[in-house]
Amino acid sequence: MTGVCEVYQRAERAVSRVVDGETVIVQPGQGMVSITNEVGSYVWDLLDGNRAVPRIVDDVCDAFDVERPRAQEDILAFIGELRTHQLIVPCATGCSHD
Amino acid sequence: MIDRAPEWSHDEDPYQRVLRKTYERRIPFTVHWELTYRCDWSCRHCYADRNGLANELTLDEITDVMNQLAAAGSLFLTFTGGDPLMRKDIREILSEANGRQFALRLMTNGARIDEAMANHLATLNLLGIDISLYAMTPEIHDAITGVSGSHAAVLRGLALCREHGLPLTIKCPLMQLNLKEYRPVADFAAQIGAGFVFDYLLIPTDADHHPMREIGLTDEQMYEFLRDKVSVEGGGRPEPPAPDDPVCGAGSNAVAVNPYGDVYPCLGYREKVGNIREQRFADIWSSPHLDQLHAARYRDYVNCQECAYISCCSRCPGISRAECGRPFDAAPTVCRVAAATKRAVDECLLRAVI
Repeated sequence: MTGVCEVYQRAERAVSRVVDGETVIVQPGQGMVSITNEVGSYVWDLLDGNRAVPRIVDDVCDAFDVERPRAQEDILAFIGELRTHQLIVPCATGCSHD
Repeated sequence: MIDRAPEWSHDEDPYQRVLRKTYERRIPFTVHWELTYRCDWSCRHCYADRNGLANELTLDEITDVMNQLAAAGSLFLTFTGGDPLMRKDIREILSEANGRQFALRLMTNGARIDEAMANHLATLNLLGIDISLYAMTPEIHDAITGVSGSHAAVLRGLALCREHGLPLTIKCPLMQLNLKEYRPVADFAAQIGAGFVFDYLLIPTDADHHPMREIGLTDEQMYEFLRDKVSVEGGGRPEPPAPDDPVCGAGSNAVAVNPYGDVYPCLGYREKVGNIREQRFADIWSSPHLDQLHAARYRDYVNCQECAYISCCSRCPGISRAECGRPFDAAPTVCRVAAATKRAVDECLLRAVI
């Protein structure tokens, strides 16, 4: 379960490169995955261990002019997928980071 | 947001799709970098040119080129040689590469991996370490390397890597000398949890260096080896390439750099297209010669279109250039391999029908 107030950072072993707008991520021992659009790549960049999910949602809303409830739903689902693939790890809990 | 939700790739294996994309966009996604031609071994099949050893790129030059490669979109970076561990600054080079988010591999003979080096390697984020082991019989391995005791040294290196949990692959090029060692080395790799890669196509660099002709498997040995392999692993008849299929990624999404900064389309295609001491990488990468390679299609192998072995042919412009002087001629070595492969596949398919 992905908590709305958690702070995540990219897994230490995950390396990535933007290829023609697509973020390609390789994690030794786990193969390659990719994030295929601009919004996903933007969120990936924000998962630096310094922002809780609500701030990421705010940043995405500002950058892409989208409505907050839908943005939060989509971003939480996306973060859930990244967690499933062990590409991000929770590093703190609580929105006090913001 | 519906059409702008963060999108996750749902294809089972994005690797091939991303490779196609980097090919089409001409992104140098895969880099092989020969850091030095120095090596403790003198392997009989090795193509490394030992001339001009003193003029290797410095650490500063290497980090500058890494920056240029990262900016160009390179992700997979393999350091090879010679033995990269011969360089005194290898730890710094590896650490700098790690810091630039490359998916990093190291190819080494393993003989110089001691406790301190294994400790350092374990601090890095390595995709893999490829170590050369030619035989489980020490005398055969040492006969190929030309160095007595090299077998014991590589086994020590492998053991240390294993103790430190490093991701190992054992590489074993096959020649007449070590053909019978194939199974024992493969079993050993499985036993220590390492990957295993073999190859019977020994790369010629020019007419003067042709290990395949001198020490490579004979046609009959290749056929027998492939027949046994196909009969164990199975598989159907390979499809022939279409005339519009690209030939390979050399100069399109793959590139190679030598210890002195010369840039090649790939390790097997040894035609210098520039030097990174004289030009920025981006300028070399946009050279007309590479455009020509990128535009190459299978139909450019004019003499191969009606060949009976076409479905089993692993065409290689680098080998064609080394053997024939032109990248799209039928290279005798590649033809030999294709003929042996076709014969093995046909026999196994026939057996399956009977």
